[in-house]
Amino acid sequence: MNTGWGDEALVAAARAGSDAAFMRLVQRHEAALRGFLRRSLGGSAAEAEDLAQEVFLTAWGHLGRLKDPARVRSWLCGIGWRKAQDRLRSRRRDATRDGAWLEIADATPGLSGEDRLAVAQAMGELTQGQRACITLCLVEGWSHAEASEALDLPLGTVKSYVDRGRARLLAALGGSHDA
Amino acid sequence: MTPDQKLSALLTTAARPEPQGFAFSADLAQRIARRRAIYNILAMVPVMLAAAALLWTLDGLLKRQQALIDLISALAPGLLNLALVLFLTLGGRMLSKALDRR
Repeated sequence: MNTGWGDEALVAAARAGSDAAFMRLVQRHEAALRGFLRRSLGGSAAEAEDLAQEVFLTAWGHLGRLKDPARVRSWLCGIGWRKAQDRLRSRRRDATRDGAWLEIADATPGLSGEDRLAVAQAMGELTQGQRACITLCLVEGWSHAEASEALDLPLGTVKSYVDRGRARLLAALGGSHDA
Repeated sequence: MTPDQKLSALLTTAARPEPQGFAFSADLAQRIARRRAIYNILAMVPVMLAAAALLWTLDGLLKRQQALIDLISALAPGLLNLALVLFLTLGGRMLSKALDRR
């Protein structure tokens, strides 16, 4: 298979029944999806991987419902977000620190041990929506509109979540608390 | 470092892509293949039921038509060969299509 195919061509081929094309889409987007799920769930890499498998299986079964094949990553993150919410609802989040963000903070040069714990604590205290918006908009560089579409949240809510989440992180790192 | 710089460094680290999961892809491919096999079997159920009903009806009709049974008995060897040729041709085409898709 030609590896230079775009998402649209791969989606078309996958819809026509090509599992190879679908697996190419998986290889292209799985790392980003696992990263998004891990940072949104705040759990282990294994949990994010398990959920990502479910996301791709759902996507395989509902490929016909994808409206814009060029935005397959956004669609996958949307499915992942809904599944992550279900999973978070089914288990009570007892952890006051976010494991995924603690690892990220540990790998960040220039942060003191205190900063690292403060970041993990601040992320652990954010709502699910705030964490997902921060991951998509501040980490992945998506626009507010793209995140709004993927997460099925109003645009104003996304902007507010990003601003508040950013302010919370800045405060944890010793900055101003104003959003 | 100012808090803004620390946050920038944190977000840059978080933006690093996760490593490619080859085991992940292999496991998923296996689950998709299993699911496709189940869907294919389920899709065949109505056809099998219709075929069973048709054969059951034909069986009832043929039992009452002795002349037709004699005719079919005479044609059976030739029809069997024809069915075998058709089966192999269609099977080969389907296999070739399936291989082309991969």
